[in-house]
Amino acid sequence: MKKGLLIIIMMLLLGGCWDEAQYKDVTIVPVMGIEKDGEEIKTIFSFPTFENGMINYSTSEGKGFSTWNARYDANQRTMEALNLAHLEVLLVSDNLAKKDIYEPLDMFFRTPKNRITSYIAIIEGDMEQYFNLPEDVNTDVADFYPELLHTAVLYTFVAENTLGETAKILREESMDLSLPYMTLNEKGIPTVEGIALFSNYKFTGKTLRKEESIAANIMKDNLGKHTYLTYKWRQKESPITIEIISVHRKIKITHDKIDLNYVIDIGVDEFPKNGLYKNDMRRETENFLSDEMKRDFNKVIQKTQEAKSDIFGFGRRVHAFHSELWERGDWQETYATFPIEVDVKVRMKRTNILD
Amino acid sequence: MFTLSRVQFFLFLFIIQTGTVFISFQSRFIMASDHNAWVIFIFAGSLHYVQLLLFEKFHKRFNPGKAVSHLYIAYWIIITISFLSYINYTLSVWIFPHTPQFITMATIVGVSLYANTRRPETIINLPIVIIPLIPIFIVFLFMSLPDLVWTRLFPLDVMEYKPLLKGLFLSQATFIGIEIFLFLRQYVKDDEQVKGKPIFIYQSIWFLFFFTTVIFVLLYFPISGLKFVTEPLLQLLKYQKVTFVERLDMFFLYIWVIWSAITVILYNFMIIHTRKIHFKNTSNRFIILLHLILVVASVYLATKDRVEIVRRAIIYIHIVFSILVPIIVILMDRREKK
Repeated sequence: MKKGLLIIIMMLLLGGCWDEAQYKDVTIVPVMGIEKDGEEIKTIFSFPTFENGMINYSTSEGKGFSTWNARYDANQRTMEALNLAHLEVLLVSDNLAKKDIYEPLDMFFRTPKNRITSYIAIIEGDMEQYFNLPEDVNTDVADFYPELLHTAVLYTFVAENTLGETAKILREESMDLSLPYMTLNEKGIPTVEGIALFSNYKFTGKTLRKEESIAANIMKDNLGKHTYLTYKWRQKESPITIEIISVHRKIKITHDKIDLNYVIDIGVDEFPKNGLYKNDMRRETENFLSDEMKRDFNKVIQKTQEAKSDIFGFGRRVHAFHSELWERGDWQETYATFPIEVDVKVRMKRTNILD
Repeated sequence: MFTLSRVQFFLFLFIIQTGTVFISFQSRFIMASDHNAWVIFIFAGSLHYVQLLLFEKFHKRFNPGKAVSHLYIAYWIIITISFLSYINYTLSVWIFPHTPQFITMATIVGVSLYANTRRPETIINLPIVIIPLIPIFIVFLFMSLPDLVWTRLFPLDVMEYKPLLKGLFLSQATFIGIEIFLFLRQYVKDDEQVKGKPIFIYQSIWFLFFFTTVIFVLLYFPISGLKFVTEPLLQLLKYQKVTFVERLDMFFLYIWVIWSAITVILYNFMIIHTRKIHFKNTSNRFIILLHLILVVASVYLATKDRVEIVRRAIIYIHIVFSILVPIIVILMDRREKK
């Protein structure tokens, strides 16, 4: 009796075996691309193959009427099943993002095994080119994109956009999505060009360039580990590079305008003209930088308003505290024409080891 | 017979009340209450405290006869089945899609069967297992702190009473199990004080636990997105990128399964113990039969539709057994004494 009971208990402990997934049966996909091909979805997967003890990366393509369907199609051309549990980067083509972007992404959130902390980026042009890196790159797709985006986050070119965050913002009426935007340079090397602006569920086709993207992240107080800005100071005939130390922002919303007040602490990293040992020179530099940054910030506001894309989430505060303004109608429409005034005050906190 | 220390009593109650409920109740509650959810939960918390105080005041008059005890046994069986079917469904969706559901259930229920054929002291001390898991859960939760959006606490709209009432009704999910106070209170050692500060401390812990989960879910997810999220706490952890484990949600899911399994054991203990007291039945045949029913029923109910129906119905049944029946039993006892 006791033996029988023991066997039954031991059998029950084997419960997890049904759901055992062995690495030999699957192939891990670190980078995946989705694009629109006519009325269909086209997916490209980069996955490792082992030849003569070396790891190489191959690609497999699939087409279908949904992302899963296209994945299924691609799966039929690979030896093992494509597994997205360790996906590091998802690339989405601009033509697909201009439609409802949530639809092709649904499968990532519905299946618990999928990783949703992967980076997501929008690419310009043909997806296939992004999976065939030129020899100059000297690395594999699987290493290149995660590192490229990680560096972009580290240097505040873009915010850390994961699949999960994307889903959350897409479901929010009071804020719009912005995702890293990649293009190919003249040598065919993929580059983070800036950020793609979304309005509701769709990519507007409008983007912010890299410098504008950094400015937008400063405005959101969403700094990476390093945030550098370089200006040409024509009057002094000198470049000046600064590192943002911290951002203090105040947002005041009334029924007829938004006032944005920024106090930005900086350090100077490059200024060949020198002379920062003089108090007057430091004040003059602060004033120059305040004006430059104010101009940049205004430009960013203007571009996001043209795109009807509230990437700053002003709508969140409007929804929370200004019901009259919120109820005027679609927030994106209101945002597009709403007066926004920006004021920037730069405080030089460090001149580093030179004056 | 057994006795309980004050700590054992409250720990028993805490596990019974938190158990399975705490990973899922937030979605429906917040969707019904909108941004008012946190205010409604503060009000619900006050009601919970009042209920505890009343239970403490009148517990000696709560003398359920055989008929009422039968009803409570049936009620707890329903509660246990609802918990198990939800656990079964959640596990099949999140971790074990290919494992036969009866195996998962048999494993959990098997542990309960083993525990409930031991001495009561074994079960009474079981909730201690959960204590180290609570801070782990809280630490996991606080990892999402930088992603919380505080403006989601507003706007408040307390003029519309219908969503407030609906929210208050759905917050009752966190009260499930409170009636066990009345059943176990008599076993607390006479020299241990329960009323006053101890009840207040228990109430504070209960409130802080649930309120924290409500606040985190409310501030983490946009309300319009919550309707897609069935287990918001699990999802919240799935969104976290950490270096020490690939999937934080999995880690938490296992904690929750242990927590829930202990809750099931405690409910079964209540069923078996109440039967022993009122029906002088100590046979193991009933215990085995009960556990068999639990396995079969929880496997049968573990589909999306059935789980939803049971979850919706359970709050109504809970209100009957945690408010209505105790009032009737206490009033009848008073009348009999007169």
